Amino acid sequence: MKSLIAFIIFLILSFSSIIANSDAALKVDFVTGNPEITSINAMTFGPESILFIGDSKSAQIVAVDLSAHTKVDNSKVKIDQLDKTIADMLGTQIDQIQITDMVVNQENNNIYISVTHSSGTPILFRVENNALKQISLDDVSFSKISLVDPISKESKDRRGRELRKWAVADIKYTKGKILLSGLSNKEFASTFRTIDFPFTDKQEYGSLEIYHAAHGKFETHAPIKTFLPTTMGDTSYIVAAYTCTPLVVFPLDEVKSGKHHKGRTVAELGSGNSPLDIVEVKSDDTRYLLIANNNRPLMRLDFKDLEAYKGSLTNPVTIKGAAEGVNYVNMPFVNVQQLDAYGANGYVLIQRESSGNLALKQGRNWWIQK
Amino acid sequence: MKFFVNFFLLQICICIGYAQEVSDFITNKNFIAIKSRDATKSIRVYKDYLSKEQLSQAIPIIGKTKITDKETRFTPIVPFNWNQAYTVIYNSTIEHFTIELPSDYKHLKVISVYPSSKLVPANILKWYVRFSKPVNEASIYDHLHFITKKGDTLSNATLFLKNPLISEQGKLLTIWVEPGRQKRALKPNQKLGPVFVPEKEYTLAISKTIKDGSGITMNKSFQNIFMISEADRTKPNIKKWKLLPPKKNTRFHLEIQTNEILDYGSATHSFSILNNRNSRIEGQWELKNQDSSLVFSPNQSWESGTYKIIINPQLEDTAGNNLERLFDQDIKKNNQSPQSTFQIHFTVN
Repeated sequence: MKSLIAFIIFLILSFSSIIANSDAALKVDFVTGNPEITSINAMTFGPESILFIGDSKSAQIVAVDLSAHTKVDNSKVKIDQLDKTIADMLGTQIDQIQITDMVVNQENNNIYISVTHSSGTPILFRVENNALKQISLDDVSFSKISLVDPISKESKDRRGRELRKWAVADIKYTKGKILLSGLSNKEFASTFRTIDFPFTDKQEYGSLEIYHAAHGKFETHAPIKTFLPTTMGDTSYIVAAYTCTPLVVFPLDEVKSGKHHKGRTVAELGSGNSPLDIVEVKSDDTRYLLIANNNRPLMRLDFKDLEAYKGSLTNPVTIKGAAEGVNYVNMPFVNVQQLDAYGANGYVLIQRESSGNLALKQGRNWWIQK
Repeated sequence: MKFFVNFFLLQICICIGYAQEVSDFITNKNFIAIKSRDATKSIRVYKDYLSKEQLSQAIPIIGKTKITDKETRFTPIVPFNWNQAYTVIYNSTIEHFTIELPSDYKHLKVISVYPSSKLVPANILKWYVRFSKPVNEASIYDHLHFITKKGDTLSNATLFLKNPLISEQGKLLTIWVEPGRQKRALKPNQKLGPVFVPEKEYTLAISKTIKDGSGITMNKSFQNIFMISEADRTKPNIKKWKLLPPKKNTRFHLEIQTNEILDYGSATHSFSILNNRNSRIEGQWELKNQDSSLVFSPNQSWESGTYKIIINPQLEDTAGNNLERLFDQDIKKNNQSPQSTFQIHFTVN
């Protein structure tokens, strides 16, 4: 009996050690201090409650350890008049703030909202008991890396002003890599970067151009607005929504630095529309893609339809009556500005309701059930 | 900066309910400080002019409080707004303050718009707006509109961006004309058509409701009227450019007459000049003559000799066509560029 107890204790200690080591491995380069974040364009969570922040103004990616925030229950989260609440907390007007992103830490259900004030100051909030708490980023455990432009030297104009701007559009973490899409004020192109994490001195900055052809005629470069790393079958894919509204799929493993990739266009999300967020949610055994848009309702795609669709809208549709791309369902949620998955089969959104109220709330699971 | 040191000393504000104390406190854009004789241990500040009853429902402004022997200072996380009423509560005292906008405040203005030409191609891709000071990024595209001569506002004309493209420390805004409509054969182009129609007149209108970083609007709206010409479906051709070389031992500028409108963002950093020793000549580039000429002003005097200008193939015209490819290129055509490098030589005598 004693030997059994000793064995169990040994197993527990070993397991704890493995967890501790994996934790340490990811955070071994972290230091405590001020990462000097000057903008929060986009956020995503990696393992071990590490929040990755895309900071365009300082051209950096910052990994912040937020594991001190314990597990919470946000299953009934509801904050009405979110924009007014934030403006009041900053002593400012609603039109002087912009909510730039919202993410859920899937490990502990904490919801984080990033805001930019007219002065340029970025602010991070955490939701606690249906209230907002500011998270100071002045003194945190962090690691960061500069986004180096492949163009080595930035020319300046007569007055020494730098004209170039590259804004992070979306950021995701998968399998030891940070994936990053962005939009430049120079070329209208799909700049897609992959950065290893933990950050190392030897970084390979993959500056990737991913393009698709529109209806077999005009070649189209376009930036990705939002994307999602996922798997279909045994293969890892990126599902990317472009500014010109197509939804494009390409195998992640084929993305190599400096190469061009032709994505497979699987759906069009509507003219005059811009995708905002893509998340993956589950209901029992069914996986769905949910897509928030600036000028269309929340869309739902069944992964089975996505996997079954082998065609590409880059080829002209020749069969009369043939459906153009993967079918999607428009859900009765309009003006969804922010979206993220929550828990096993939920989703959280920030929505401008018909009354004008900007609400942070849970989406109803009923809409993603068979 | 002048305003930040211009303290507003307020004495005997409105006291409601609690102890009727006479207090000194100092407010400016960045903080509120209460003198030590009040022995203040805590301080809370709220937006708006709130009564005692309203305070119980209100959320205080977030910031940092620092207590010293001399004062208790509250620094909000972002500066206080001009002309915004605030309520402060300390030692059971409720007071109100407002930081008034100085009479000599320099309002936000539009300094320039690119392209500056009054005739632009129908497939123009980008506009740039330079402001006099950093602008408020929040919902900035809501304040910009393209309007027809009849006064109709074009819908779906610009690209919606959650994080706007603003560079130069918040003063240069880039506006993408909806590329899905400007590119042929894309769904938005097919469904909605191109944004602009040749031979029509339009106005880029920037509403005076746009605010600067401190939350103060422009004094008046800005308008840039322009005409539309046929779409530009040709790549910039450097063989058609004309060079006006400078004289030796001067710092006169070098002028390249491109005779077509180049993209502002791309033009000023796509060129480099090397002397015959392959040393880079440092200086500044600027667009002139309604963006159809590019002017280089060297930091040092020119030496006599031969120079070469190396041009980045990504240099674009205002329709997004670069030296190697068209913005919307027909993939069935031979798109091979006849050149692999783009250089122009000139001599300084």
